[in-house]
Amino acid sequence: MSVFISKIITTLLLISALVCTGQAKAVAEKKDTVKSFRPTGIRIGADMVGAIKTGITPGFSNQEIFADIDFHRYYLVAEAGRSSRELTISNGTYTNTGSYLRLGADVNFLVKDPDKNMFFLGFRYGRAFYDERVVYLTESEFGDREKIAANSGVSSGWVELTTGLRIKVWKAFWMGYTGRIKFSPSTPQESPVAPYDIPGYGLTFKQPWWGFSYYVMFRLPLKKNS
Amino acid sequence: MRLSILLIVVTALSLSGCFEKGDCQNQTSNIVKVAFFNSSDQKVLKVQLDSVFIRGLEGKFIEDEELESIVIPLDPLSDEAVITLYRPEATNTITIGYIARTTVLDPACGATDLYLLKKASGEGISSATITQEIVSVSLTTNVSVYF
Repeated sequence: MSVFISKIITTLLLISALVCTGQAKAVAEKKDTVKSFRPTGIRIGADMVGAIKTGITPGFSNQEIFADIDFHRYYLVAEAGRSSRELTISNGTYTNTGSYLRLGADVNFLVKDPDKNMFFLGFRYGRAFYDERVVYLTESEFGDREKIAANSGVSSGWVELTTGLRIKVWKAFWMGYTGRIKFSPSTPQESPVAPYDIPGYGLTFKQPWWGFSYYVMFRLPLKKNS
Repeated sequence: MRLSILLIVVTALSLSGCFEKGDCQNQTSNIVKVAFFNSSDQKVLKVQLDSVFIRGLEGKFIEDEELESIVIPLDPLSDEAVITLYRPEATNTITIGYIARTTVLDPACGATDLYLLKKASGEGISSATITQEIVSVSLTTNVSVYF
């Protein structure tokens, strides 16, 4: 049900982003007179979706932080997080703990906005490092026995296309969201457990898969009046 | 008007993902088919088996039969199957190395094992080769043993 609701919200927000595209196009058509690639500020923040889901979903935990820095209309972005999941499966339990890092860039289409609000398109490369453990009952001609299988220190990578909004709420306080479509997760081919859930990506058999982050941020200016 | 149509289309596409569930239809199996061949002409060979023993299973697995192939179970907690063939003319041991890879299809389906055969060898035979690495319910020949 929570997935259903999050998808509805994301869809509505993506629609709002599409509406913003019209405005962005109009703004972009005005030729830039002065381009400075000197960074004006660093935004740092935390993801609220993971925090709320951690509070309401038993056996699930996710914390994610965010940072970006501007170079005119281009933003370098880093997102890092850690997560854990414990699932009851029909014949045992599945647990997963790990951390992840996404690096990428966003292109702002509201470059003339005086408050530096932004509607962006971008990309990320994600990398996760995680452990998985499955304890389950096996049934075979050799008897019904408990099997413990684990992946220790495995790594997976993937790519994302992103879009979203960043809005200045008050002074240095910002809010915004990132919608992401995730592609091509790489997984180890002969590990004891076929990876089921990659931190930062999600379920491996969902390809492509999508995600949604809602960030609360603070912007630290790097020069006066920025 | 155009925006509401777009909203409906995008929402419908998004909701389609909600009905995506893991497939519980398990195509994997722990039953391996071992077929016998004549090494000189590569033709199928019927072998008289006085008895067949499998390490980990008590008692005779097969007794006094003439067969072109045998099907044997793999142990999910092991990585090696050792099969001993007692024939009138000789006793042979066939060893099959494998990975039993744990796979979670969906929490409702639970965890299962996907068997990947990695190597085959034998004593008192000409050779043993893996012809189908993935063990599945289709029961094609996984290992060819040449006498």
